[in-house]
Amino acid sequence: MSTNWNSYLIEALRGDICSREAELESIRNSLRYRLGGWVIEALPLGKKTFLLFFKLIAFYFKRRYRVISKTVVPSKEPLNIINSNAFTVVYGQEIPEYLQNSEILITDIASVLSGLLDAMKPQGVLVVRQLDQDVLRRIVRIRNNGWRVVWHPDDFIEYDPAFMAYIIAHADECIESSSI
Amino acid sequence: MKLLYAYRYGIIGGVSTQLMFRRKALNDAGICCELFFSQDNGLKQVLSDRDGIHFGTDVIFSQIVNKGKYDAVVVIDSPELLSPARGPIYRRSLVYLDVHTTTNTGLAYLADIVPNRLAGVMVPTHYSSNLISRLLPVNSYVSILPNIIDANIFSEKNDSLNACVKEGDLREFIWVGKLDHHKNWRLALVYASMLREMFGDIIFHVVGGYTAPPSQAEAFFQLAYRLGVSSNVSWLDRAENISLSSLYSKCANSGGAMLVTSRDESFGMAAAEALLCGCPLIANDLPVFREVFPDSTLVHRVDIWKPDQVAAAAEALPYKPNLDDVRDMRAHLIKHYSAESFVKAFKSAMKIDR
Repeated sequence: MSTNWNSYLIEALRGDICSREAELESIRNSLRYRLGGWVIEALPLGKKTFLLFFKLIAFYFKRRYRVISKTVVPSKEPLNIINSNAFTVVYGQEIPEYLQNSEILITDIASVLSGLLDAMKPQGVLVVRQLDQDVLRRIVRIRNNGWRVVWHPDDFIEYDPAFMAYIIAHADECIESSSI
Repeated sequence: MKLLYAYRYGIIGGVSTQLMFRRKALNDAGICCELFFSQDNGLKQVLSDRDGIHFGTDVIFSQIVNKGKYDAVVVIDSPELLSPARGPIYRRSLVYLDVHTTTNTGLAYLADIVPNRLAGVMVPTHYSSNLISRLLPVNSYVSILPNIIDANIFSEKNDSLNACVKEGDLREFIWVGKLDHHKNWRLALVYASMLREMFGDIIFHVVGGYTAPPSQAEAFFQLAYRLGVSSNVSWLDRAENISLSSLYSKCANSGGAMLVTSRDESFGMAAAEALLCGCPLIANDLPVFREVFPDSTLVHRVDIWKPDQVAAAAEALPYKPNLDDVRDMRAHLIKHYSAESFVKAFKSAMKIDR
């Protein structure tokens, strides 16, 4: 073998280490970890234990205030999209000209598209105009379920080459951007 | 007898699949078995029959245990459920712990459990038994309840295996698992690149990772691009068993194999299912695989960190597996990991029918 695969193994290990470090950072920043740290610092019993109660009370009100100060009105739009039975879905911000007169759904919100695709809707056509891991990780599954995937890049978006390589390889049809 | 199995993760994976098999086997044997999952990570959606399968929080779990009047509750690797599993003080259930994890992180909770509150501990293999015995008090009794494999859905497709596969046909390989450190997915992509260099164009199916966080999913596509295999890798984030069985057969029929890069396994359900379909394995030489899989031309044990060994195993793959070897492997797995074997071990562990 001419390729030095051991160097790729080292790269894979480094990637693993980065992921683990990110997990560790996430744990350290978690609520449970931080609160646990306060409790540990408050022992043995002493002045710090006394201060802990004030800290916890302040924390409680801070979180309570944060929760009640926001009024979140859930948008009905995503639910309408997920519950729809439209045959063609455009993932992006602009409907291509050849679909202008069709009954389609359009969304550029990843969570909405994910909900729609995960709902195992009947076969349809997905026109992909923006790329992210949310849509790419579902491409093979929806194609296996009978969906047709069309890659139609948007002229005004610069795409990640890794994402582009994957969608080009796995789409049923690729429509060239007019700027290419 | 009425039994409840409880597990944290309602994910389409090895443990939940195993629970479905166990539930059916026990129900068929006249033992009422229900399931509880603390989280729904996509499992609810694929269940056609949810009678006796519950999802909910710890509070809901307590309510189910209180009302259910179970003779026993078996908790799998979810220590937060052990206490509520005991039920109300006036009607305590027998609580068993079933340990399926083998990672140090996953097993850490064993240091904090109170063994005398458990009626027993169960594991799926002798390997797991040896692993956890070091972490439990000396007098803890550990029962081995073998996993159940579904040899009906996972079977070789005879007409396809007899088809003529020749040199130059597209080889297909498969890797099954979560995109996490334990399953070693990055290594799988590196070897996908190596296999492509060896055989020309290939298809490398990656199955699993439905719950992978966005950062891992992005890392997946970036690494595939870096290795030049974006067009060879096909990521199917979740699959039903019938689809998985088809994929295993496709790989077997194309002169391919299933690649197992895991750092450790408690049993190797996916590997067992692949073998049932006649799909050869190129697998990390894990202790549990020595216990579960007999020596066979279908099983290529390698040090997964040695590319030369993986390459040699891939070169040795036949264009189609030997049918006699496939049948021998199936016979061995069915004999040792059938529903009957499980029920027999279960009754012994629960001291039923004595």
